[in-house]
Amino acid sequence: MLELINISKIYGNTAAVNDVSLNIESGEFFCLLGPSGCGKTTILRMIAGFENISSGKILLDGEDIAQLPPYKRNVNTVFQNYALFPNYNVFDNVAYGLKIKKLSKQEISKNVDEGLAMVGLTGYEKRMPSQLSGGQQQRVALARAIVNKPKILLLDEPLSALDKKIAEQTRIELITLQRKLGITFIFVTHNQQEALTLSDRIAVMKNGFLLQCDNPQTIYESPNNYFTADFIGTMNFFDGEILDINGQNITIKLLDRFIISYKPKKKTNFNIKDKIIFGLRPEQMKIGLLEPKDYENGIEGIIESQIFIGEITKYIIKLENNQKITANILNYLVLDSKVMPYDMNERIFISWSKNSGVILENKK
Amino acid sequence: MKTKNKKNFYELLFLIFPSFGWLLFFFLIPLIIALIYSFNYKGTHGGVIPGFTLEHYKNVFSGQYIKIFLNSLTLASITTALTILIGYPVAYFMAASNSKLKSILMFFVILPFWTNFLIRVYSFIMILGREGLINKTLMWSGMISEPLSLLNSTFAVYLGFIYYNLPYMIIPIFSALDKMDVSLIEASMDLGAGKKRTFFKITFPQSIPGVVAGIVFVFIPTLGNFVIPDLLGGKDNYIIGNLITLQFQQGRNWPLGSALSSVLIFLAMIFISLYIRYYNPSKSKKMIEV
Repeated sequence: MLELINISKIYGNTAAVNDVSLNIESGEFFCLLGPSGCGKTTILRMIAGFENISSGKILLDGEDIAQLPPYKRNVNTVFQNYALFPNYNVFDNVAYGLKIKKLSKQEISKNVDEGLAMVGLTGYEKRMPSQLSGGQQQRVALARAIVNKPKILLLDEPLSALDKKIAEQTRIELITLQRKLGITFIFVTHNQQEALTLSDRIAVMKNGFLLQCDNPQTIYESPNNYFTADFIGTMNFFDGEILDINGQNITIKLLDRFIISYKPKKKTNFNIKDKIIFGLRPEQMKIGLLEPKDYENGIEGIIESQIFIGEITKYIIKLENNQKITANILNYLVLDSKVMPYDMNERIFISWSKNSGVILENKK
Repeated sequence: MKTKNKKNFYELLFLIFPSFGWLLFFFLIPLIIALIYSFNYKGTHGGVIPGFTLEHYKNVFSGQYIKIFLNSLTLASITTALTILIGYPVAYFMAASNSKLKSILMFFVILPFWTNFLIRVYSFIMILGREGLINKTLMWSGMISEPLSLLNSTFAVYLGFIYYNLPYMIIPIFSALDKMDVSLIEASMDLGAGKKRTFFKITFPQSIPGVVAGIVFVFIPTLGNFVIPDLLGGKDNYIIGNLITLQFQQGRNWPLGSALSSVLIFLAMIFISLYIRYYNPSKSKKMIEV
């Protein structure tokens, strides 16, 4: 539906967006995720038409829209600061696009009613934007965009200015709304939690480059680069070297000392003697006093501190090379006496399944 | 303004005392003196003789003076309208410029203030005179054979007023436009509005406070100005300002001058109170109340 083909945006001699190609499906909830300055907002603004593209093509249903002014593109934007027109009340804000389309008065008022009902703001028609809370302003901005029934709705960090509670609640509402409308949503955020919960697919960006584009589960479980692995969730990293590859069984030497065997679910493109980084999520590890079994991998460490966080306890474990790693243990396991609680400075073994973890190129 | 406690009140009093004192002694008291003079009798060689009479006010509203009042109002209105028409695009362009160009342009707008007002008005005599820049250029190029009489004309008065007032119009409009959130313009275009519609529906309404401030800064001082019509306009283009000066100098009729001034001030007060009523500058008073 929307195809970005090798688009770039060059400012002077820096590229804000570097040769990015994306294919966004109709009805998809698509997320552009990355830290500030990664080019995600620039891409959104290029789709909306507020930025020219330096090179490439933007195809919307096969038609190149890259040279069209914003008012001729069938896309609408929800701005980060909402950008409600302060001189118009809620009704007139929402009706703004409809009036331009020269709809009749009845149609306009019907559409505005529907739009406001959709975001739960019926009865607020006469309020001025300054009389609304941040969350309400955000809803008006949303209604103002969706009443135009765009092919694509662009959302520029719409939740970042809201309180955490309201933002989380709005997340769920956004998904419901998107399912109901069937409009393609392209959502820009720097918040990985938001991206994981909302999206059908996530495009992870850094310094203008597109690093990985996959569904949230794949992004979380099988990041294909160090940045994504580090940016999404928490991950422990170990330097390593590939000693042997035998079919699906890869032998790796971790931290110049521990030999582990790794059986990835997916095929990898590494060779013997490659220096790699081995990544392991905190929840993939177990802690125990016994040496790992031969169907497991494991290394030795000392408990340095533990933090109780409701459903989990976070253990900070110091390895022999002084590197610190994090392991999360579900507290219900401790309460059910399936796992013993541990003391500070206790010498323990961390173990994990041979299927767990990812190997990444050693390029930080 | 609500004050939360006594200490706060005295603090505020202390802070406003210098400006308040200044206004009291050099602004309010002279005004009151002028008001009192306007009811006194006229002294033979200038000055006033105490007493009470309404004769000067009757005079003010008689045919010849009321005509000058109306002329002045027309002149101030047209000047204001023209400065908006010329100043708005300039302010818009400045606000839309990048920050470097913005400060350069601002420098040029402020540049005239570095030269004395009188010298600037005299320079117009040099430009517009029979032997002035415009006539010389036109003669040299062969477009005219006889010098045009540009000076001592209504045209020259308007030129002078517009030139003098432009910065006072440009700066408030610029500051209103500059404060405006660019994403409002983007939002308007995003919703399908072209450039024209976006300007009239979004940009212009946002800049109205600046335009209104500009009107106040231009209209009221123009009403009272006497130097520009005096130097560039000649006798046919007298406005109230000239009339008042005349009463205090050659006319030696201080009470009439005071009455004219009082009416002028009253007019100005009406305009300013309208401004405060509709564009209350103390909307930002929240800052104090916090």
